[in-house]
Amino acid sequence: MQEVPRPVCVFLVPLVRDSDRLPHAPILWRLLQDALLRVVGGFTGPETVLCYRHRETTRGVWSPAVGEMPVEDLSRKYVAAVPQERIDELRALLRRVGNSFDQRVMYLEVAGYAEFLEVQPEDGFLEV
Amino acid sequence: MKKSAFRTITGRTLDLAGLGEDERRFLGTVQREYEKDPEWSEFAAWWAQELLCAGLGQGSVSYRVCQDLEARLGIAQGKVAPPDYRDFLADLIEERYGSRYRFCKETGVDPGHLSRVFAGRAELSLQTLQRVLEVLHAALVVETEEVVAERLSPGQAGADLAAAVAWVGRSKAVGRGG
Repeated sequence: MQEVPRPVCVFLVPLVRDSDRLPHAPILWRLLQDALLRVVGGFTGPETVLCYRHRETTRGVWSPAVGEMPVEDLSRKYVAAVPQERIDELRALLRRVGNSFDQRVMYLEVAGYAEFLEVQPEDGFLEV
Repeated sequence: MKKSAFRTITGRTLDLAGLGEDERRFLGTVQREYEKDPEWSEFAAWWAQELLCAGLGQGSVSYRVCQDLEARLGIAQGKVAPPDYRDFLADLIEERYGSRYRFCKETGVDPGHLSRVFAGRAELSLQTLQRVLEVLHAALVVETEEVVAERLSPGQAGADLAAAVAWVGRSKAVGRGG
């Protein structure tokens, strides 16, 4: 049976916190990887989704708000082929990542379309 | 510490004694790659792919060893913060309770507050920290920067991993022979 094509999702996780520009604690990278494998791909379960992590960090520029100076960020770029019906799960996960990694906005591309996910406190955090 | 053990940056002991031959060989390959002192993200992408190819999952000892090695590289290269009390707490909670939810339910610690603490958005009061440490049967230890640097050192971890993998290999060979 032919497999249903999956949208390719690209997302960035900046290497420093928004508030103080300091690098993240090791636990956060670990929780992110654990959560990503649970949500968008894994080694068990009937729905296996390929998840790649880019080998190089990505340089980018974003503007915190109108009139504010742009900030240059290094991010880790992730690419995952995610089943259409699980993309909302990925969005929810990225919002939790945003809270845990102290980011106001998370960048996500779904099949070539860019989304800027605004992060709210009620979105929750990555969990142990 | 057992000769087959690998100690993580938070002091958690991962025993490699029970590894099968394939996983032991996988960790040998990881150790050799790690000794080349790769760039942090490059190593992260490499080991995740290799782990998948080796048919090992999130529950494997190798997964935790690789995450630890990755963290050490990140810290050494200035891309990851050195671990603080949060990392130690998270590890202990995971090891002894399995989840933050269960830990909070059994100890009465507010889960929302604990999440903010792990995200670096809040701190535990000394009183709460003492209560949490009591529950976890843990103690607060003050160490010199020199001691901490040695514990986090990528080089030391590489050597420890090589020794543990080799010891496990030898003990299995002796077991087979005898």
